[in-house]
Amino acid sequence: MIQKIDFKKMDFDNSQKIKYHFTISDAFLIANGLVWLAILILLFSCEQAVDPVRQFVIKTGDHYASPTLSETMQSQKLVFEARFNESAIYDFNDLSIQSSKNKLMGFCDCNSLPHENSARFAWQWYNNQLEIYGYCYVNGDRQEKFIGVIQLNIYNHFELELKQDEYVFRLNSEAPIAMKRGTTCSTGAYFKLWPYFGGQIAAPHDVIIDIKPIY
Amino acid sequence: MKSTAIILFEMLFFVVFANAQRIMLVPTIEKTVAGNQYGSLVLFETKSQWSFGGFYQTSLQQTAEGTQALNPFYGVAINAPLAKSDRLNFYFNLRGGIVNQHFLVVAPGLETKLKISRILSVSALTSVRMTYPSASLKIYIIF
Repeated sequence: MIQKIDFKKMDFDNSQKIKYHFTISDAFLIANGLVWLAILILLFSCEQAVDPVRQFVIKTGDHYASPTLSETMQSQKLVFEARFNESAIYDFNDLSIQSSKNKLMGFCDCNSLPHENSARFAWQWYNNQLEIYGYCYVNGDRQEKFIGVIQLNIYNHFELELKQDEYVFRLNSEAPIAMKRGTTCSTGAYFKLWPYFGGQIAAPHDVIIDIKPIY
Repeated sequence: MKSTAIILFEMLFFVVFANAQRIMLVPTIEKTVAGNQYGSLVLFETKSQWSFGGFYQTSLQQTAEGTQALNPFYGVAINAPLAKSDRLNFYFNLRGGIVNQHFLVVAPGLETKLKISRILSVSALTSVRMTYPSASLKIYIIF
């Protein structure tokens, strides 16, 4: 015996279920779209979306600063402002250690490690003043050049330009210092280098440095 | 090395092109911590809504000689679908390329694409540029 099936009723029930499901899904999608629009309005507003000032802290007994960042260069010039406070003052009672350079900021040259080819600003507390140096590794050889002296508790302007054969260091209104560049590739990753205390000796107390990158 | 890279790129290009369901031209504007960048992409979308292509974008600088490109960024882009529906799709976006002819850059991001019509979609992309979040607005023109 053949059972009689009401196809019309079955079709109607299924279509109701599908329609209800789709409506909820659609509302979810529209809500997501509105959230994204809100994000876009925020980010495309005239105000800068982020404050680029970063505070780096080198803890007592450490070399590396916190936070730890991984960033590559995207321009020929590394430009930033940096501010030191009284935590940059230290006394090791040994001139050879006191003249050891602490690193501020710079970059590794094309696909190189810091001790192969790199350029950085370095600093030391020496003769009761904060001295800034150009500090480079050129094909594994270390080179240093004095650039100038800066004051504590104010932002100082730093520029490090990557040229074909040299690095050019600029500090505030001091005369630019050029240092020879090593032989590396041309296209690759140029990782930025962040504050580091030492040399051999770790930070004798917490050292705080504010860095404001300028893009 | 360079010729190998070109051959690999061409192989990828032709495989993607052969499987492409749609070709899309995508004008784009991106706000980064370093300022706005303008440019466009050409993407090939497969049946499973993966898309591959190339892009070029640059900042614009006003000088005495006129408008000049600043920090141009070009390379390849991939969109991998994370969630799909009729109107709104979510993608993982990855761009890799060269900035200023020297600097290798990889920029991951998340993208939401909203379908307006059969030939037009708009999308919002948040990605990471220079360790800060960036936002892009894209208009997909589908051929």
